[in-house]
Amino acid sequence: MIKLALTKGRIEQKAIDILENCGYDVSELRDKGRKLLFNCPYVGADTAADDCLQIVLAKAADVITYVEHGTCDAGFVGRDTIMEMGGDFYELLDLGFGKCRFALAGIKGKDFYAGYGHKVIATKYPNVTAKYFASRGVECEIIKIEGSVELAPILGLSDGIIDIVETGATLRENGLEVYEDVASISARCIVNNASLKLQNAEINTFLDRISAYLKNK
Amino acid sequence: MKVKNYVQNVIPGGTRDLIFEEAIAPRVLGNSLMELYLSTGFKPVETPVTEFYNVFDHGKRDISEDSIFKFNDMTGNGSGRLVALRPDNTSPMLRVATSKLRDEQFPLLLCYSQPIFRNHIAFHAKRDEILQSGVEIIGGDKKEGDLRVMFTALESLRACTAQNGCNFKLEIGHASLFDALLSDYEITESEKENLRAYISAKNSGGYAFELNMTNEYATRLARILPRLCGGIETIDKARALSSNKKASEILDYLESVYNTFCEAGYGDYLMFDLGMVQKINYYTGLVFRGYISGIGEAVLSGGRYDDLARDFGSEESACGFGLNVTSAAELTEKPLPYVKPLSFANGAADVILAKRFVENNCGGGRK
Repeated sequence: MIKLALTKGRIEQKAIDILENCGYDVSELRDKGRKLLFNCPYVGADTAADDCLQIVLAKAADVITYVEHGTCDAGFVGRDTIMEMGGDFYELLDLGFGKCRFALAGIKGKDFYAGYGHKVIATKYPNVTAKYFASRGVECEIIKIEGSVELAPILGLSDGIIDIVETGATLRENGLEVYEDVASISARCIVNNASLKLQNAEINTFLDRISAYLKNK
Repeated sequence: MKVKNYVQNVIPGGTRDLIFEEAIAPRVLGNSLMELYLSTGFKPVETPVTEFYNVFDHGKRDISEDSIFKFNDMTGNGSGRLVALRPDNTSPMLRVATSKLRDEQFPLLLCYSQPIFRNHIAFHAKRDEILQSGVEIIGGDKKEGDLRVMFTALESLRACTAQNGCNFKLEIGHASLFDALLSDYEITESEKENLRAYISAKNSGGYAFELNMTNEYATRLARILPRLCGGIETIDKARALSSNKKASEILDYLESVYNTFCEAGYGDYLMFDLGMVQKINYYTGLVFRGYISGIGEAVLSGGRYDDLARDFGSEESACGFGLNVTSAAELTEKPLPYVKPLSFANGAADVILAKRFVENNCGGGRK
């Protein structure tokens, strides 16, 4: 049995579809009720009794925590959270959905790197931002914002933002534009270091089922 | 019990009070590991809990600077120098081996069981102080050293699981395989470092659009190497990757080590992980990590680090491992039996009774 943590919300919905297509019985997940743990057995001709996923639903950052500590063997989580949280685990599959990107954006038409003064960046992702600018040798001050980051440059709080951009519609409607792309994002399957070694065959079977489905999709 | 709100009641994040069975379990396990080392020819060394920082700040450092507890030594002869709480046991052991023990007969077989300290980021429930037990082999024949250190690692894992029925696995790999696989191909240093980081995190998802590799072979390595983890079949899969001479020598060596231990009956406990690549060139040969079911991270890690002794002014080769006794002992904790305290209510008569009790029950007392 593999304990799998799914990120609640959009990733959860897509993941349930993928797991169903891979041959898992996801009926418990479709009809959740108040339960927190869901059993999804593999439905095959001569399936072993313990060929089963035990699924928990959690917030993205908690998926990483559960997997890193080994309380879950594997997890489905966005690359954005992985980049922000870091941690010690294996990132074994690109699940191919939830595609978007981290981008540096700001007031349309402005030259972000112009001038001598240090830059102020507003973001929900301070670690990603710090790492990005450090890798480019650019000094910047980071302001952590919890809600709509787009407000910060509009109100003059920051020179730019680093945020997740999908279509760019929100930016355009508010007179902002993408200055440069920072990183690509999609949903990933992560695996606990010890689980991959101690349940190697079981986890490889699970990963092979998913990658076979993703390839033929 | 009513608890008063004294700030003095609190201990710093990352530290623990070990109470009753928590306090005994690591000692018992540490002792049984020490017994294994001593009975197979290793000699114990204990080093101070503080060392000058530069003992750990050598070229092959594998511990990040910000995770080491540092302070100034204002006590006397080292006045003002930077001092560290020991974050690792290998460097102090090599310091002793290459200085005080330099005239001993090599190979030197050393063992230790003492705490190490690392500062972890907050809110991850990681322990800053752990009891680490392990061995170091300095000098001598390398193949013999590899077999000795792996044997001791396997038996240590067995000792950790003897009482609780947990499974364990020892995975083996080789530090030079990655470089050997790439040696026939043109690849820039920065591309190589990126690739190393991705393979080490087994990030086979990230390679495609994040690495921007121009080299087709390197991209293939990034995809395949992280998955080369499993039984003996992984060696053949790795052979198919390259016809490089160095790479095939390494694979032959790993296979021969594996077969040696299979013949002795350790086959069920062994596996390969050919994707074990370190960011820093700390290890130079065989590398291995041990896992015990119920613990979410490696409890044992070790290998060969032949260049490390050079940082201490010696040309000797070295290999060894360290085992996280604190984690492993959590699986062996059992409730302490109730022991009725001796009575001293009746004064002199009780002291005589107590003396007799200790003489009869506690190893004879005062002879």
